[in-house]
Amino acid sequence: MSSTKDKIIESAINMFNEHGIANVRLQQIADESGISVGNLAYHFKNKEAIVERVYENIFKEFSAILSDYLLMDTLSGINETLSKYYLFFKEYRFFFTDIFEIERNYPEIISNWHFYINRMLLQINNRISFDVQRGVLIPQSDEMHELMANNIWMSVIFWLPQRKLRGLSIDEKLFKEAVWSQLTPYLTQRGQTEFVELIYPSLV
Amino acid sequence: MNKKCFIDYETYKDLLSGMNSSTLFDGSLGKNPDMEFIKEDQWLCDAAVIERIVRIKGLWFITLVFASHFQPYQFLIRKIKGFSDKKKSILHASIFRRQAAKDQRGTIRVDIERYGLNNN
Repeated sequence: MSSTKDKIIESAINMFNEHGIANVRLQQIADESGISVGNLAYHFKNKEAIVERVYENIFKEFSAILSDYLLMDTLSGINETLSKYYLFFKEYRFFFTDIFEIERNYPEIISNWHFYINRMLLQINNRISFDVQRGVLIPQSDEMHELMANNIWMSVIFWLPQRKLRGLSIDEKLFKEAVWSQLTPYLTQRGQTEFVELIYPSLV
Repeated sequence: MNKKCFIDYETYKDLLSGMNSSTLFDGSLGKNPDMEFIKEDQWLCDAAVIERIVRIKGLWFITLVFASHFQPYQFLIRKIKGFSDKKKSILHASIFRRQAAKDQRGTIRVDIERYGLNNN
């Protein structure tokens, strides 16, 4: 990708985050990138082309996070993944605030997104089973594991939009605290020790 | 947007659970005999490697003979590969030997005839 294209994409992401996809015009993206609309039209013929490219980048980054499953078998592994998710969702927060608009206008993006979301849910579910087998989490029924995975998934995805909705600040520690609070009640004695040793210092 | 190739949901699920179980340590420790092979194969570190070309069913087969310096009749024969051309077989045999031998320049000479090997 040429550097001008990079610059355009970067500016587009900034503008989308600030104003939402629907309210951004090519002129604004061009102004933000410091180039003319004509030059922008040479690289991307319309806004849809920019949106598509932005989503290609989003999916590439998201699959990179997904490919890091089980890099560490301690609870630090979960913490690391949470950091990555936080940075990702912070960078592309417009996606969740504009989700219904995207669903109407870009059905292909949504179907792709379903694929990644299912993978993410499966990973959370499997990570819970892994930690149960490791003796860190208290064993529950399969349905309960699925519910836990769903709740964690919701916290990860919708923590940022709800903070924005309530007009509150966002911070990585608060995000991690919110997600960990879903898991800590289910920690075994061994899990609690591991949590206090490895995770707690990074939260305070 | 480019169409991508994806594995289906169930396969991905199996893949993740496979990764889970391959990472888990079940707590049972290994036994001493598990590592016996290191002791048993120790002599191969100092063994001379001799290439030997045998004609079997119309092919020139390369076999490598690993012979111990210390025990006259301790040796191991490994059949490597067969070629229809003898020259090619000789060339490959020398390459294989140099790969396998500790003495890569081949200054230690071991006469294969002294072993009186049988093709069977």
